[in-house]
Amino acid sequence: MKKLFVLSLATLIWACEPAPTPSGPCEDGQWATALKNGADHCLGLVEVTYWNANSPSAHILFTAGEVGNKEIQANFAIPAEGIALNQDYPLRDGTLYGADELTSGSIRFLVFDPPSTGEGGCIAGTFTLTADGPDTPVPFRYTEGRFLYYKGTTAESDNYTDFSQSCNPFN
Amino acid sequence: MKKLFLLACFLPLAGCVIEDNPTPECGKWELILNNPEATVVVENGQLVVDIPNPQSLNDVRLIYRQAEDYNDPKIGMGVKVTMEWTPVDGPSRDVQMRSSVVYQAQPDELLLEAVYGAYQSTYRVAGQDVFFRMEGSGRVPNEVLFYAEGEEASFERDSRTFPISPVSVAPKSVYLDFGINPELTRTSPTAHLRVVVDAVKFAKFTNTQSAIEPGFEEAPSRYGLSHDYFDCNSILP
Repeated sequence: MKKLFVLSLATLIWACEPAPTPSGPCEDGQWATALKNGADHCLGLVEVTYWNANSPSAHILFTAGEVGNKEIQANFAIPAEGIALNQDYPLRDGTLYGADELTSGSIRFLVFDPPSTGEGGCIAGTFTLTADGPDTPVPFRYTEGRFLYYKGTTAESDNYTDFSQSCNPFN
Repeated sequence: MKKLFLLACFLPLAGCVIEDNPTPECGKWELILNNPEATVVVENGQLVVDIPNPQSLNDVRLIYRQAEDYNDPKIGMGVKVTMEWTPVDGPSRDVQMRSSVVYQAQPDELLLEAVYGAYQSTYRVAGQDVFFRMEGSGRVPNEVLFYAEGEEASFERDSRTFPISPVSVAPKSVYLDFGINPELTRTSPTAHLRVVVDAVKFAKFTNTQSAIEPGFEEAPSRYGLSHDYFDCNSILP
């Protein structure tokens, strides 16, 4: 009987656990997460675009956050020679919510297979960013940042999650 | 033992009741009374501030804070207010109320101030006067408005904008201060100040003819701050 009582109490405690939250953008195929000032933070949807490749003005535009309200918009300088994996590329410029200037940071690619016309692609990696300029009263530090940007073809769209998981280097 | 068994069986069933639609929290404002004689109540859909023998700019301060993890580079506020005051003798012109905004990390550095005073209304950016209106000189009675975004600030129903250091997304607090400006007291002190606030709303109300009248900006909240029509007691205990 005593065991039953203990079991019931355990059941009660289990019943009071918060219900699992539904899958958010950080559980989908395109996401970025980081520690924001030390706390877990989901940045939501991410997009990575390679501009002016193999030229002196080559850069990566990295955006993360809700559509219409991007938390991070950052440009990272890329050498004309192109992108190598497992190498840090420095922040060129950027903002938080279009307001506070990003003052330092870098991005590193673990997978770099950009999508092209008619073909899917996968870009994944890590990043750090800091906004600590004179007009930012509280520094914002994004550390241990990770991102996965997957873009599939129309034919793959039905199995989107499977494809995105297959190119996820953090699994 | 039988009772224990029944209790044990019942507990998991009784477990946790989770309300689908919990009553929204009404509490918004922290209250700081720097004048022990002052009283602040919410009654009949209004916030009523009574200050006998007002002494300072903020005999009464109300603070409404954005959540610590809220990030927005815009802030705007409108207050609909009525002031009545009684002088000790002769006309007194020192009473005022002020709405302002600060970064929570710098709670003493006012980014924007809109001062609604008996003598004049004054508007400041980072502590510096940018313009003022004498009573009756284009001032819309009963409105106190400010807005800032990017590198521009604006006040009242005025189309001008004023430069401001780029507005950060850092969490902010808004203040409502009630009291007097001692520099204007001179020989005519105020015996009693009563301020009635009908509504506090958050949006861009400047440079518009609608301002905070009913029907304009009906979203329940903006910038992480909920409008307050004082239909419940929004002063935190």
